[in-house]
Amino acid sequence: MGALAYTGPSDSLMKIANAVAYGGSILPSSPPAPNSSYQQDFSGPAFVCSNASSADYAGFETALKSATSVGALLEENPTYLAWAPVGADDDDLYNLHSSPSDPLFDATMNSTSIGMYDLPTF
Amino acid sequence: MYNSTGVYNTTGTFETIILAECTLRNVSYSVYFDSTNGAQILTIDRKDVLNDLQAGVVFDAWEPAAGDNSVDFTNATLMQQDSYYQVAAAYAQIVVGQVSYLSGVPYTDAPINTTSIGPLLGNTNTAVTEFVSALETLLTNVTLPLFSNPDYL
Repeated sequence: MGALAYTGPSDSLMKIANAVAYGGSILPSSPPAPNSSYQQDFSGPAFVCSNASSADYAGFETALKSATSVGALLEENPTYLAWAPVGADDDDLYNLHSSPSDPLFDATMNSTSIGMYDLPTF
Repeated sequence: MYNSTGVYNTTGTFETIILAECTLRNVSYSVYFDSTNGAQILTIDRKDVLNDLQAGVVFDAWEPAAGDNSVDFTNATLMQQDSYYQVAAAYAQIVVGQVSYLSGVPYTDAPINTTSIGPLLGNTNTAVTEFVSALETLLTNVTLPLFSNPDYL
């Protein structure tokens, strides 16, 4: 255990992210002057999505098959679907992981991946 | 079009899985702000992908190993990547959910289900394509307001 421990994004950042996600639109900003227009060029983060790689796909499928064969166990161990970065040692590796830890539902992903699983409640 | 497969759940029902892969990139934006008619209109052009972002170096900085004092918090590249991953982490808190089984029936509990793009979730390729596009847009929409907040400039 290091001296520093990451506890997640700041509350102020979550406030903006939640407002955008639940509001469904970009939050307005204050223009520098009334009736003004301007352009900004900058670099920033973006997600670029595509089909999952065959390796990720196979890992996800194996993990999910393992998980669905032990439904009684999962009832006691709620498990994350979707992505969750947990690796601190390997570049660009993510694990599809569970909380609490469940080795039956552990698949290494090569990048941030999103599994969309057709569930009755959707 | 996204590939799909499926598994049988504990009740014997075949469940379809469609898997998309989203990677965090450093891209160039060009945003035109127009408030000449009272309401603000943004025209967003996401231009070139500048580079991929490697997560490991950032995670190491977040939680260095015991005794490891090598993290340079003045390194501009590291700090830029850290900032990007903070935004991505905020986004992930909204999207990541849980799958649980209750009496053999799977159900999910993810914050995104209650957001404006939650209803787009579905298992057809058309629905997934629309949903993934909305996911890409959501991160952009989270990013842009940061430039109007002095705390993040």
